[in-house]
Amino acid sequence: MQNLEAAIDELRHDEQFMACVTRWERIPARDGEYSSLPADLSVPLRDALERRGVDRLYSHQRASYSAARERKSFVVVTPTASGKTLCYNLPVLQRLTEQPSARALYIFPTKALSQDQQAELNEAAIAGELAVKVVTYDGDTAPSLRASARETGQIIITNPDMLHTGILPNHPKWIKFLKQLEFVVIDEIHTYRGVFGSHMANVVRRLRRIARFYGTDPTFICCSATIGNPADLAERIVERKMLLIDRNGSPAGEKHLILYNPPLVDQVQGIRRGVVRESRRLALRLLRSGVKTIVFSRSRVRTELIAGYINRSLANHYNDNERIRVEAYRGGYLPSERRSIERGLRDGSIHGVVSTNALELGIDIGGLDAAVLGGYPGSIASAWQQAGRAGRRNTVSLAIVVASAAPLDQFMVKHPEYFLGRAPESGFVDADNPYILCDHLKCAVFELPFRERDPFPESSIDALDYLEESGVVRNTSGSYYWTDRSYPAEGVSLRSAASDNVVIVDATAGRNDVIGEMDRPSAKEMIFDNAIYIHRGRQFIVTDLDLENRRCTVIETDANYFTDALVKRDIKVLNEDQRERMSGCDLVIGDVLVRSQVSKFKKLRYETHENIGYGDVNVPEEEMHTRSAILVFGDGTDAGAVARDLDPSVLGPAIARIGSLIKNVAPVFLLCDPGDIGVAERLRDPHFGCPALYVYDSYPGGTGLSESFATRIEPILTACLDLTRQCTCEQGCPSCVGPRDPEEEIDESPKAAVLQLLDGWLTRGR
Amino acid sequence: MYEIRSEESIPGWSRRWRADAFHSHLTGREVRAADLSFIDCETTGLSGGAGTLVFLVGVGRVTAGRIEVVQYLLADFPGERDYLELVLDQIGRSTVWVSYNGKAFDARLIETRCVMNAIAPPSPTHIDLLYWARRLWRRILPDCSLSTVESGVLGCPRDADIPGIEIPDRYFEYLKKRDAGALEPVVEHHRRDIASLAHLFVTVEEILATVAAPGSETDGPAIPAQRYDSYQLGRWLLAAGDPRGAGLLQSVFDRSSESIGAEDRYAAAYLVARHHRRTGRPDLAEAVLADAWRAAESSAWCVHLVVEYAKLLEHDCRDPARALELVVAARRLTDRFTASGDLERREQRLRRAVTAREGRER
Ligand SMILES: [Zn+2]
Repeated sequence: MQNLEAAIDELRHDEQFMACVTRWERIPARDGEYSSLPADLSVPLRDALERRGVDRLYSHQRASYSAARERKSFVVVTPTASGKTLCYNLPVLQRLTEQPSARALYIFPTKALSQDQQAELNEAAIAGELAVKVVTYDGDTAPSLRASARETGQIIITNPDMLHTGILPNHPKWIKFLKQLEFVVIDEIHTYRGVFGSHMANVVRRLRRIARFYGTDPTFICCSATIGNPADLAERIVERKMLLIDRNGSPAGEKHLILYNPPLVDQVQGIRRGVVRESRRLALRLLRSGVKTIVFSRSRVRTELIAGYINRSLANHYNDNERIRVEAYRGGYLPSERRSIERGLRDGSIHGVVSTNALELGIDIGGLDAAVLGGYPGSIASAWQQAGRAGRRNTVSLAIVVASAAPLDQFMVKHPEYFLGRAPESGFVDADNPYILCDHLKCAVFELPFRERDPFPESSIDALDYLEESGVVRNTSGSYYWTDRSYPAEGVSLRSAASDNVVIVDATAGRNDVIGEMDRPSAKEMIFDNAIYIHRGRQFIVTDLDLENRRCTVIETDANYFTDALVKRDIKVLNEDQRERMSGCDLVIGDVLVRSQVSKFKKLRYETHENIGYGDVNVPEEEMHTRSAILVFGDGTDAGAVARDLDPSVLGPAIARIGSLIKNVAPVFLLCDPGDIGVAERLRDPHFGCPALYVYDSYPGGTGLSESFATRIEPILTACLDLTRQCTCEQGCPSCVGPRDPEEEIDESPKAAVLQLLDGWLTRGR
Repeated sequence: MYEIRSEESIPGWSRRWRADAFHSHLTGREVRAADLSFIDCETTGLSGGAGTLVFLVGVGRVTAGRIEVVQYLLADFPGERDYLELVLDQIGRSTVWVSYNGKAFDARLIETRCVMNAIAPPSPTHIDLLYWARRLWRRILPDCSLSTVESGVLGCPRDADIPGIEIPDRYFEYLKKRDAGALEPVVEHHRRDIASLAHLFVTVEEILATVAAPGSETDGPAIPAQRYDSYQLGRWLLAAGDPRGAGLLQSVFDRSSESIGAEDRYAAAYLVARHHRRTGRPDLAEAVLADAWRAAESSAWCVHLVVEYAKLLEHDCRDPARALELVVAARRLTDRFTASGDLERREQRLRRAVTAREGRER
């Protein structure tokens, strides 16, 4: 630990380093809040805990235990290393010692995680000592073991996909398990958001419906990382009242959090030193000082690159280096390789690890001294989970967030208050998205004739009538029955939008390797003929996009530019559900029809984003029904008044650039990716008769994003303004409103135009 | 629910089977013809799962060499519960079910339907002829589907049969239009399946009867041995602890000139010898091995046979000298086999054993 304290001291006195630090926050140590072991705990369970030195609980573990014992469904917010698993294992194990015929279902978002979880349960061996049978039931479970798993497993560990395609459609085989199902644990519930979360909410509806068929009504225990709305999100997924347990009783050592913005190399164009280079440099420095360090990088390729670089640098560092061992860790490694790295980290034989977010989730690697985040990981929840990888219960730790040039990173590095305050991002789901709902209604009807609507929404009946017209269900004597020879769950993926993905094939030098996939609407905008496609750090040029056969052929290239499609969007308002004057404009929420047509693309030089040419694109128009939040610059609104003062040739581009700012900044407030949001601006909107900016959900039917956006419009717009104002560039750069574009006829810089509009609009109302 | 009845004679259901009760080799016990239920189901889907319903259940019963097939059709979904109860009553819950792939499919599906309708599922004795078909014909026929067995074994190929994949849609069409015409080919297909089951049952019983008493006269049409896989059947019988397997495998080894592959013959000899050793008949084992290992000279089996023979001589006959003689002779023949490293080690070990014994005797 002295190493780390020395390293921290050294950093603090390094002027070059300090010049890039936008915030150095010292988070003081926190004492634990404890509570005695529950009085009703069975003797064997109490003994097993005490043998492991557990003679008291953290207050949140105790609260979880009480809630579970009272059969109250709850969500517990658990930062890294706060003893999360005991929050559900303790009440479940207690129940199983009282009533061995009881059953519990644990759902983890990924397969790898469920294996680790089982290992943890087994390692603790408490279950073993109590003769509680824990089994993993997923795609890797051997068919010969499945029947006995169903028969004898008291705790079954699975993932949503297996529940959806394997367990629910075959529920009669699970009769013994389902008849005794008392607890359902949903871990990492914050990962169920957007499309995935909307699917998950419907899988839970199906589970509850089947449980009811067998006469059970299980209690739900959910665990969440720190997000803005854990209880709300859990309630949207489980659709019942959830008790919130968010007072964390675990102790924590002092933590230093440093936000680091790499130095500018070109002030005017706003270009900074690269995030990969800076993170590996900082990591190397820490490792050489004897500080155990984890580096997070945003892609698998970068992970390997950084680890390789660090190891090479250490090898050059004459004699002492052999004792420093650094490994890469990412998805795609064999489980045995991963286990061995995890072990090495726990026992201290590995000193450094470079990882993708694969190590962000609850895998136990013990405590490291420092974390270097190579780029903002996309959400504050992830950032804290990554930062939390450094630090043990009572020692000092360090986390350095290295910002990239992306607007989101630049915003975060300049706004430490978002890191330090309560996480503002809120997960959203829309369980009633008509497309997702319809898919799950098919599965539900397959599982059990549909008589009672509950827990499905009223709109289900319309959807079922539609399904009857298409012949897959039959409505007779008040029930809907499945009348199709297919197995519907097979055709419904919980993870991706559409099933009609385009396959990307590398045909360089006669190769024929599938290197990726993309959904059809994105393919039209990203991988048209002559587009540049970047995959794992390699560049390709598209030679043929064959939409009919869902195949895109690419060959490797070393072009010095990337491509950006000019998409013409036509938006038609189909239905206004809500109109309200707020944040200086009229905010409308409703259904829209988005028609997208790509006809041209720009070639932009790397680094400078300078436009060096155009090309034609020939793909058919794409149509999508979705939900949108529309900012209408109407008469009598502040936005409308400011807009009227601007020349239309400036106003159009200015609104468009605000749109892309929103797209980049909104993820700070909504747990989503910029790609989940579509934006389009209209100078004279035919529906509203004035300028309008559409922010819409890029998933057909919407996933709740528009509604969630509407509740956070004020802080989002303020963040857009701050980002632009605080950027060091002169006229606009890729880190804020985007660089100057000769196509636009803005006399002044785009930055000035955006500032004038946004500032005028937001300050008028104050 | 609708009931469709039909009746026909079964080829081969001859005198012996006409008795009220007969010895069934398939079940290994006395069976009353009236207790046999030949069962088959048609379903609304092919992948199983809770949404796959049984809409047509057929049961065949044999009396006096004729099979009466009764097919029960589910008129519509809401009647499923009554339908299942009635059908199970009609079939009788305690009969012997005879099916083709019914253990993995039909019985499971009926179980699922019972669970979904809160009815106690039946637990019959179940003979699944698919398993037998695999044993007897997998290496002879291109596949083991019932229709392939019909044409390749029973000698009665079907013409104008509806493909299985179309069956669910026919039922959905019938539900929608209430037109029984859509179901006619399905009902006919299903009836044929059940009649074939009975025919196949007799055929398999006859084969097992031949095995039980080789050379004796059977009542049915004689099934020539080359029409089924004697080696696989013998191997399976032995593994199931049935000594008839040894006799069958011995006949496989003896029939040198016939269509049986040489490798099968040596493998059969090996299994027979091991069986005799294990059952305390080294004399019989030696009779087989002495012939077999020389016959197998050009096969990899030679080494296995020699090793087995050497063990027999050394341990059962307590004659390491002869064992050594054998191994030396065999090594001269089998040097080209990679597995003969085993023989080399064995030779060295035997030499030590022989020397030691000679030392003691001196
Ligand atoms: Zn800028």
